[in-house]
Amino acid sequence: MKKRRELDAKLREFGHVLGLEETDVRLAKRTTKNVVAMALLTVAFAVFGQIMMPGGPSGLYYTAISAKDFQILFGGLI
Amino acid sequence: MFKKRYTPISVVWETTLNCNMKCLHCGSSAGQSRRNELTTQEGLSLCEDLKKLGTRLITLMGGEPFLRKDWHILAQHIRNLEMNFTIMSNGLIIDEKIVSQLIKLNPYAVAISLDGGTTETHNSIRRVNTSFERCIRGLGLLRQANLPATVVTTVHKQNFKELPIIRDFLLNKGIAWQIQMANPVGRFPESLMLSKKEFYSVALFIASMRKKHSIKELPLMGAHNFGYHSKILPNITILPWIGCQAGITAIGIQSNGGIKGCLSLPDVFIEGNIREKSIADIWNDPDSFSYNRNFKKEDLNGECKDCKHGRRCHGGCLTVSASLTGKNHCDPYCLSLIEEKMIAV
Repeated sequence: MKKRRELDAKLREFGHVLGLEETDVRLAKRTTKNVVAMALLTVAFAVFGQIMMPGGPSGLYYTAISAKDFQILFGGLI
Repeated sequence: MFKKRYTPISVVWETTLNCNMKCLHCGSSAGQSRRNELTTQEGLSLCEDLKKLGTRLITLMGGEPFLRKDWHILAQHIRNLEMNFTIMSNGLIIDEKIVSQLIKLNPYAVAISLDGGTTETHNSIRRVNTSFERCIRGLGLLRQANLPATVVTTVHKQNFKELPIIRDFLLNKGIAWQIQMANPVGRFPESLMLSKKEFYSVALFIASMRKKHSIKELPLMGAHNFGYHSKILPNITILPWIGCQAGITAIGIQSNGGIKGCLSLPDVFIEGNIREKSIADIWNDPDSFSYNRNFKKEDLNGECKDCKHGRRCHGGCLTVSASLTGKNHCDPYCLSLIEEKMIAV
Protein backbone atom coordinates (compact mmCIF):
# COMPACT_ATOMS: atom_id res chain seq x y z
CA MET A 1 0.00 0.00 0.00
CA LYS A 2 2.78 2.35 0.98
CA LYS A 3 4.70 1.44 -2.17
CA ARG A 4 1.65 2.14 -4.31
CA ARG A 5 1.20 5.54 -2.68
CA GLU A 6 4.84 6.34 -3.34
CA LEU A 7 4.50 5.28 -6.95
CA ASP A 8 1.38 7.42 -7.42
CA ALA A 9 3.14 10.41 -5.87
CA LYS A 10 6.11 9.96 -8.18
CA LEU A 11 3.86 9.68 -11.22
CA ARG A 12 1.97 12.82 -10.18
CA GLU A 13 5.32 14.59 -9.98
CA PHE A 14 6.21 13.44 -13.51
CA GLY A 15 2.78 14.35 -14.84
CA HIS A 16 2.75 17.77 -13.23
CA VAL A 17 5.55 18.89 -15.57
CA LEU A 18 3.12 18.65 -18.49
CA GLY A 19 0.07 19.89 -16.66
CA LEU A 20 -1.49 16.48 -16.12
CA GLU A 21 -4.04 16.36 -13.32
CA GLU A 22 -4.29 13.51 -10.86
CA THR A 23 -7.10 11.88 -12.84
CA ASP A 24 -5.04 12.11 -16.06
CA VAL A 25 -2.09 10.45 -14.36
CA ARG A 26 -4.28 7.70 -12.93
CA LEU A 27 -5.75 7.18 -16.38
CA ALA A 28 -2.30 6.73 -17.89
CA LYS A 29 -1.49 3.63 -15.89
CA ARG A 30 -1.56 0.26 -17.58
CA THR A 31 -4.52 -1.98 -16.84
CA THR A 32 -5.31 -5.59 -17.66
CA LYS A 33 -7.64 -4.25 -20.34
CA ASN A 34 -4.66 -2.51 -21.99
CA VAL A 35 -2.62 -5.68 -22.02
CA VAL A 36 -5.47 -7.65 -23.57
CA ALA A 37 -6.18 -4.88 -26.10
CA MET A 38 -2.51 -4.78 -27.15
CA ALA A 39 -2.45 -8.55 -27.58
CA LEU A 40 -5.57 -8.37 -29.77
CA LEU A 41 -4.10 -5.50 -31.75
CA THR A 42 -0.91 -7.43 -32.35
CA VAL A 43 -2.95 -10.35 -33.67
CA ALA A 44 -5.00 -7.94 -35.84
CA PHE A 45 -1.78 -6.51 -37.21
CA ALA A 46 -0.36 -9.95 -37.90
CA VAL A 47 -3.50 -10.93 -39.80
CA PHE A 48 -4.54 -7.72 -41.56
CA GLY A 49 -1.92 -5.06 -40.93
CA GLN A 50 0.99 -6.89 -42.55
CA ILE A 51 -0.95 -6.93 -45.79
CA MET A 52 -2.97 -3.74 -45.62
CA MET A 53 -0.41 -1.40 -44.08
CA PRO A 54 2.16 -0.73 -46.77
CA GLY A 55 5.02 -0.01 -44.40
CA GLY A 56 4.61 -3.14 -42.31
CA PRO A 57 6.03 -2.86 -38.79
CA SER A 58 8.81 -0.51 -39.83
CA GLY A 59 6.32 1.80 -41.51
CA LEU A 60 4.95 2.46 -38.07
CA TYR A 61 8.31 3.28 -36.58
CA TYR A 62 10.56 4.86 -39.17
CA THR A 63 8.31 7.13 -41.18
CA ALA A 64 5.41 9.29 -40.23
CA ILE A 65 2.36 7.41 -39.06
CA SER A 66 -0.64 7.88 -41.33
CA ALA A 67 -4.25 8.45 -40.34
CA LYS A 68 -4.82 5.46 -42.64
CA ASP A 69 -2.77 3.24 -40.30
CA PHE A 70 -5.12 4.13 -37.47
CA GLN A 71 -8.11 3.42 -39.70
CA ILE A 72 -6.77 0.00 -40.70
CA LEU A 73 -5.90 -1.05 -37.15
CA PHE A 74 -8.73 0.59 -35.27
CA GLY A 75 -11.27 0.88 -38.06
CA GLY A 76 -13.90 -1.01 -36.16
CA LEU A 77 -13.58 1.30 -33.19
CA ILE A 78 -13.93 4.70 -34.87
CA MET B 1 22.03 -24.03 -45.47
CA PHE B 2 18.91 -22.01 -44.72
CA LYS B 3 19.53 -18.34 -45.42
CA LYS B 4 17.16 -15.75 -44.06
CA ARG B 5 15.74 -13.45 -46.72
CA TYR B 6 15.21 -9.80 -45.86
CA THR B 7 12.87 -7.36 -47.59
CA PRO B 8 13.17 -3.55 -47.42
CA ILE B 9 9.43 -3.04 -46.97
CA SER B 10 9.74 0.56 -45.83
CA VAL B 11 12.23 2.94 -47.42
CA VAL B 12 13.08 6.43 -46.22
CA TRP B 13 14.64 8.43 -49.03
CA GLU B 14 16.35 11.75 -48.42
CA THR B 15 15.61 13.11 -51.90
CA THR B 16 17.66 16.25 -51.27
CA LEU B 17 19.54 17.81 -48.39
CA ASN B 18 18.49 21.25 -49.64
CA CYS B 19 16.29 22.91 -47.04
CA ASN B 20 14.60 26.26 -46.55
CA MET B 21 14.84 25.97 -42.76
CA LYS B 22 17.75 25.54 -40.38
CA CYS B 23 16.10 23.61 -37.57
CA LEU B 24 17.84 23.38 -34.24
CA HIS B 25 17.35 19.61 -33.98
CA CYS B 26 17.99 18.60 -37.60
CA GLY B 27 19.73 15.22 -37.51
CA SER B 28 21.12 15.64 -41.03
CA SER B 29 22.25 19.28 -40.64
CA ALA B 30 20.21 20.05 -43.75
CA GLY B 31 20.55 23.36 -45.60
CA GLN B 32 22.69 23.01 -48.72
CA SER B 33 22.17 20.21 -51.23
CA ARG B 34 24.72 17.40 -51.06
CA ARG B 35 27.29 17.43 -53.82
CA ASN B 36 26.19 15.21 -56.64
CA GLU B 37 22.65 14.31 -55.58
CA LEU B 38 20.81 11.62 -57.54
CA THR B 39 19.38 12.82 -60.85
CA THR B 40 15.75 12.33 -61.83
CA GLN B 41 16.70 9.36 -64.01
CA GLU B 42 18.72 7.77 -61.21
CA GLY B 43 15.80 8.32 -58.85
CA LEU B 44 13.36 6.68 -61.24
CA SER B 45 15.66 3.66 -61.69
CA LEU B 46 16.06 3.44 -57.92
CA CYS B 47 12.27 3.18 -57.51
CA GLU B 48 12.20 0.32 -60.02
CA ASP B 49 14.99 -1.50 -58.19
CA LEU B 50 13.19 -1.07 -54.88
CA LYS B 51 9.98 -2.44 -56.34
CA LYS B 52 11.89 -5.55 -57.42
CA LEU B 53 13.23 -5.95 -53.88
CA GLY B 54 9.69 -5.94 -52.47
CA THR B 55 9.39 -2.38 -51.16
CA ARG B 56 5.84 -1.27 -50.41
CA LEU B 57 6.24 2.19 -48.89
CA ILE B 58 8.69 4.94 -49.83
CA THR B 59 8.92 8.01 -47.64
CA LEU B 60 10.19 11.06 -49.46
CA MET B 61 11.99 13.38 -47.09
CA GLY B 62 14.82 15.87 -47.06
CA GLY B 63 16.03 18.46 -46.40
CA GLU B 64 12.74 19.69 -47.76
CA PRO B 65 11.42 17.27 -50.41
CA PHE B 66 9.16 19.85 -52.05
CA LEU B 67 12.26 21.87 -52.98
CA ARG B 68 13.20 19.15 -55.42
CA LYS B 69 11.59 20.25 -58.67
CA ASP B 70 11.01 16.67 -59.80
CA TRP B 71 9.39 15.48 -56.53
CA HIS B 72 6.05 14.85 -58.24
CA ILE B 73 7.72 12.91 -61.08
CA LEU B 74 9.35 10.60 -58.53
CA ALA B 75 6.10 10.29 -56.57
CA GLN B 76 4.12 9.53 -59.72
CA HIS B 77 6.62 6.84 -60.67
CA ILE B 78 6.28 5.25 -57.23
CA ARG B 79 2.50 5.17 -57.68
CA ASN B 80 2.82 3.80 -61.24
CA LEU B 81 4.91 0.97 -59.81
CA GLU B 82 2.04 0.27 -57.39
CA MET B 83 3.92 1.30 -54.28
CA ASN B 84 2.77 3.83 -51.70
CA PHE B 85 4.53 7.00 -50.72
CA THR B 86 4.55 9.28 -47.73
CA ILE B 87 6.06 12.74 -47.86
CA MET B 88 7.62 14.49 -44.87
CA SER B 89 7.82 18.25 -45.16
CA ASN B 90 8.42 21.26 -42.97
CA GLY B 91 5.26 22.74 -44.48
CA LEU B 92 6.82 26.06 -45.43
CA ILE B 93 6.00 26.03 -49.14
CA ILE B 94 2.89 23.87 -49.22
CA ASP B 95 0.41 25.84 -51.30
CA GLU B 96 -2.65 25.22 -53.46
CA LYS B 97 -0.52 24.02 -56.39
CA ILE B 98 1.33 21.41 -54.34
CA VAL B 99 -1.94 20.29 -52.72
CA SER B 100 -3.59 19.81 -56.12
CA GLN B 101 -0.59 17.72 -57.25
CA LEU B 102 -0.82 15.66 -54.05
CA ILE B 103 -4.53 14.99 -54.59
CA LYS B 104 -3.73 13.38 -57.95
CA LEU B 105 -0.87 11.34 -56.45
CA ASN B 106 -2.92 9.95 -53.53
CA PRO B 107 -0.16 9.76 -50.88
CA TYR B 108 -0.34 7.41 -47.91
CA ALA B 109 0.46 10.33 -45.60
CA VAL B 110 1.61 13.93 -45.82
CA ALA B 111 3.52 14.78 -42.68
CA ILE B 112 4.33 18.27 -41.49
CA SER B 113 6.61 19.10 -38.59
CA LEU B 114 5.04 21.16 -35.83
CA ASP B 115 7.52 21.75 -33.03
CA GLY B 116 5.79 24.33 -30.91
CA GLY B 117 2.34 25.25 -29.73
CA THR B 118 3.22 28.91 -30.00
CA THR B 119 4.55 31.01 -32.86
CA GLU B 120 7.63 31.99 -30.84
CA THR B 121 8.71 28.45 -29.97
CA HIS B 122 8.09 26.91 -33.39
CA ASN B 123 9.77 29.78 -35.23
CA SER B 124 12.79 29.87 -32.94
CA ILE B 125 13.34 26.12 -33.36
CA ARG B 126 12.77 26.29 -37.12
CA ARG B 127 14.68 29.57 -37.44
CA VAL B 128 12.24 31.05 -39.94
CA ASN B 129 10.03 33.89 -38.74
CA THR B 130 6.92 32.97 -40.72
CA SER B 131 7.18 29.21 -40.36
CA PHE B 132 4.43 28.69 -37.76
CA GLU B 133 1.69 30.50 -39.67
CA ARG B 134 2.74 28.90 -42.97
CA CYS B 135 2.87 25.45 -41.42
CA ILE B 136 -0.62 25.89 -39.96
CA ARG B 137 -1.87 27.19 -43.31
CA GLY B 138 -0.35 24.15 -45.07
CA LEU B 139 -2.09 21.82 -42.63
CA GLY B 140 -5.37 23.61 -43.30
CA LEU B 141 -4.96 23.14 -47.05
CA LEU B 142 -4.26 19.43 -46.61
CA ARG B 143 -7.34 19.03 -44.43
CA GLN B 144 -9.56 20.92 -46.86
CA ALA B 145 -8.37 18.58 -49.61
CA ASN B 146 -9.10 15.59 -47.38
CA LEU B 147 -5.50 14.38 -47.65
CA PRO B 148 -4.16 12.10 -44.87
CA ALA B 149 -2.28 14.71 -42.83
CA THR B 150 0.12 13.91 -40.01
CA VAL B 151 1.87 16.21 -37.57
CA VAL B 152 5.30 15.16 -36.35
CA THR B 153 6.54 16.84 -33.17
CA THR B 154 10.18 16.38 -32.22
CA VAL B 155 10.55 17.06 -28.53
CA HIS B 156 13.46 18.45 -26.57
CA LYS B 157 13.97 20.85 -23.68
CA GLN B 158 12.80 23.91 -25.60
CA ASN B 159 9.38 22.65 -26.60
CA PHE B 160 8.14 19.63 -24.66
CA LYS B 161 6.08 21.73 -22.27
CA GLU B 162 3.98 22.93 -25.22
CA LEU B 163 2.63 19.47 -26.00
CA PRO B 164 -0.71 20.30 -24.30
CA ILE B 165 -1.11 23.35 -26.58
CA ILE B 166 -0.40 21.27 -29.68
CA ARG B 167 -2.88 18.67 -28.42
CA ASP B 168 -5.59 21.31 -28.08
CA PHE B 169 -4.89 22.48 -31.62
CA LEU B 170 -5.05 18.96 -33.08
CA LEU B 171 -8.08 17.67 -31.19
CA ASN B 172 -10.96 16.59 -33.46
CA LYS B 173 -9.15 17.55 -36.66
CA GLY B 174 -8.51 14.01 -37.93
CA ILE B 175 -4.78 14.70 -38.12
CA ALA B 176 -2.49 11.87 -36.98
CA TRP B 177 0.09 12.98 -34.40
CA GLN B 178 3.49 11.42 -33.88
CA ILE B 179 5.73 12.51 -31.02
CA GLN B 180 9.41 11.68 -31.25
CA MET B 181 12.51 12.58 -29.25
CA ALA B 182 15.38 14.66 -30.66
CA ASN B 183 18.73 12.84 -30.52
CA PRO B 184 22.17 14.41 -30.38
CA VAL B 185 22.84 13.79 -34.07
CA GLY B 186 23.62 16.37 -36.76
CA ARG B 187 22.92 19.89 -35.56
CA PHE B 188 21.22 19.04 -32.28
CA PRO B 189 23.27 19.65 -29.12
CA GLU B 190 23.14 17.01 -26.39
CA SER B 191 22.56 19.77 -23.82
CA LEU B 192 19.02 20.27 -25.17
CA MET B 193 18.07 16.63 -25.10
CA LEU B 194 15.27 15.73 -22.69
CA SER B 195 16.40 14.49 -19.31
CA LYS B 196 15.17 11.02 -18.45
CA LYS B 197 12.65 12.53 -16.08
CA GLU B 198 11.32 14.82 -18.84
CA PHE B 199 11.30 11.88 -21.21
CA TYR B 200 9.17 9.91 -18.78
CA SER B 201 6.82 12.87 -18.37
CA VAL B 202 6.26 12.94 -22.14
CA ALA B 203 5.62 9.18 -22.16
CA LEU B 204 3.10 9.65 -19.35
CA PHE B 205 1.46 12.45 -21.33
CA ILE B 206 1.14 10.25 -24.44
CA ALA B 207 -0.26 7.35 -22.41
CA SER B 208 -2.76 9.60 -20.68
CA MET B 209 -3.94 11.35 -23.85
CA ARG B 210 -4.37 8.06 -25.67
CA LYS B 211 -6.76 6.96 -22.96
CA LYS B 212 -8.48 10.26 -22.43
CA HIS B 213 -9.29 10.81 -26.11
CA SER B 214 -10.64 8.37 -28.65
CA ILE B 215 -8.62 7.54 -31.76
CA LYS B 216 -11.08 9.61 -33.75
CA GLU B 217 -10.50 12.64 -31.52
CA LEU B 218 -6.73 12.30 -31.31
CA PRO B 219 -4.89 9.62 -33.32
CA LEU B 220 -1.65 9.87 -31.35
CA MET B 221 1.43 7.68 -31.04
CA GLY B 222 4.93 7.79 -29.62
CA ALA B 223 7.60 7.12 -32.24
CA HIS B 224 10.18 4.33 -32.33
CA ASN B 225 12.47 6.02 -29.79
CA PHE B 226 9.77 6.52 -27.19
CA GLY B 227 10.48 4.00 -24.56
CA TYR B 228 10.09 0.31 -24.21
CA HIS B 229 8.77 -2.32 -21.81
CA SER B 230 7.23 -0.09 -19.18
CA LYS B 231 5.89 -1.90 -16.14
CA ILE B 232 3.55 0.99 -15.36
CA LEU B 233 2.38 2.50 -18.65
CA PRO B 234 0.64 0.78 -21.54
CA ASN B 235 2.43 0.60 -24.87
CA ILE B 236 2.59 4.14 -26.27
CA THR B 237 3.60 3.24 -29.79
CA ILE B 238 0.99 1.50 -31.90
CA LEU B 239 2.44 -1.98 -31.71
CA PRO B 240 4.84 -3.56 -29.24
CA TRP B 241 8.50 -2.80 -29.97
CA ILE B 242 10.11 -5.64 -31.91
CA GLY B 243 13.64 -4.27 -32.08
CA CYS B 244 15.38 -1.90 -34.47
CA GLN B 245 14.36 -2.73 -38.02
CA ALA B 246 17.28 -1.00 -39.79
CA GLY B 247 18.50 -3.42 -42.45
CA ILE B 248 15.77 -5.92 -41.54
CA THR B 249 12.61 -4.39 -43.03
CA ALA B 250 13.76 -0.76 -43.30
CA ILE B 251 16.39 1.06 -45.31
CA GLY B 252 17.52 4.67 -45.64
CA ILE B 253 18.82 6.27 -48.84
CA GLN B 254 20.84 9.48 -48.84
CA SER B 255 20.41 12.03 -51.61
CA ASN B 256 23.82 11.11 -53.08
CA GLY B 257 23.00 7.40 -53.14
CA GLY B 258 24.53 6.39 -49.80
CA ILE B 259 22.72 3.49 -48.11
CA LYS B 260 22.13 3.00 -44.38
CA GLY B 261 19.74 0.82 -42.43
CA CYS B 262 18.14 3.97 -41.04
CA LEU B 263 18.84 7.55 -42.13
CA SER B 264 19.18 8.73 -38.52
CA LEU B 265 22.24 6.56 -37.97
CA PRO B 266 25.66 8.24 -38.18
CA ASP B 267 27.60 7.97 -41.45
CA VAL B 268 29.83 5.17 -40.13
CA PHE B 269 26.76 2.98 -40.76
CA ILE B 270 26.84 3.61 -44.54
CA GLU B 271 26.87 0.21 -46.26
CA GLY B 272 27.62 1.38 -49.80
CA ASN B 273 26.47 3.69 -52.57
CA ILE B 274 24.07 2.79 -55.34
CA ARG B 275 26.34 4.49 -57.85
CA GLU B 276 29.02 1.92 -57.11
CA LYS B 277 26.91 -1.15 -56.47
CA SER B 278 23.22 -1.84 -57.12
CA ILE B 279 20.85 -1.47 -54.22
CA ALA B 280 19.98 -5.17 -54.58
CA ASP B 281 23.66 -6.09 -54.21
CA ILE B 282 24.05 -3.86 -51.16
CA TRP B 283 20.85 -5.16 -49.55
CA ASN B 284 21.61 -8.83 -50.27
CA ASP B 285 25.28 -8.67 -49.29
CA PRO B 286 25.70 -11.10 -46.36
CA ASP B 287 27.97 -8.59 -44.63
CA SER B 288 25.51 -5.69 -44.80
CA PHE B 289 23.56 -4.47 -41.76
CA SER B 290 25.37 -7.04 -39.66
CA TYR B 291 24.66 -5.11 -36.42
CA ASN B 292 21.00 -6.11 -36.69
CA ARG B 293 20.94 -9.14 -38.97
CA ASN B 294 23.47 -11.02 -36.89
CA PHE B 295 22.34 -9.66 -33.55
CA LYS B 296 22.85 -11.94 -30.57
CA LYS B 297 21.89 -11.35 -26.96
CA GLU B 298 25.61 -11.09 -26.15
CA ASP B 299 25.77 -7.95 -28.33
CA LEU B 300 23.75 -6.01 -25.76
CA ASN B 301 25.77 -3.41 -23.93
CA GLY B 302 25.58 -1.24 -20.84
CA GLU B 303 22.45 -1.49 -18.78
CA CYS B 304 20.69 -3.55 -21.45
CA LYS B 305 23.15 -6.40 -21.02
CA ASP B 306 21.17 -8.36 -18.47
CA CYS B 307 17.70 -7.18 -19.43
CA LYS B 308 15.11 -9.91 -19.81
CA HIS B 309 13.64 -8.08 -22.83
CA GLY B 310 17.02 -7.79 -24.58
CA ARG B 311 16.63 -10.61 -27.07
CA ARG B 312 13.47 -9.07 -28.54
CA CYS B 313 14.25 -5.40 -27.90
CA HIS B 314 17.84 -5.38 -29.26
CA GLY B 315 18.56 -2.55 -26.81
CA GLY B 316 16.12 0.02 -28.18
CA CYS B 317 16.84 2.64 -30.81
CA LEU B 318 20.26 2.13 -32.37
CA THR B 319 20.64 5.84 -33.19
CA VAL B 320 20.00 6.92 -29.60
CA SER B 321 22.30 4.20 -28.35
CA ALA B 322 25.17 4.99 -30.74
CA SER B 323 24.88 8.76 -30.43
CA LEU B 324 24.75 8.81 -26.63
CA THR B 325 26.97 5.93 -25.60
CA GLY B 326 29.16 5.28 -28.65
CA LYS B 327 27.99 1.66 -28.47
CA ASN B 328 25.24 -0.28 -30.18
CA HIS B 329 22.28 -1.94 -28.45
CA CYS B 330 22.11 0.02 -25.19
CA ASP B 331 19.62 2.88 -25.56
CA PRO B 332 19.50 4.46 -22.09
CA TYR B 333 16.17 6.15 -22.82
CA CYS B 334 14.17 3.11 -21.85
CA LEU B 335 11.00 3.33 -19.78
CA SER B 336 11.80 0.09 -18.03
CA LEU B 337 15.25 1.32 -16.95
CA ILE B 338 13.93 4.70 -15.87
CA GLU B 339 11.23 3.05 -13.78
CA GLU B 340 13.76 0.81 -12.08
CA LYS B 341 16.01 3.73 -11.20
CA MET B 342 13.74 6.68 -10.61
CA ILE B 343 10.50 5.09 -9.52
CA ALA B 344 11.96 1.92 -8.02
CA VAL B 345 9.46 -0.60 -9.33
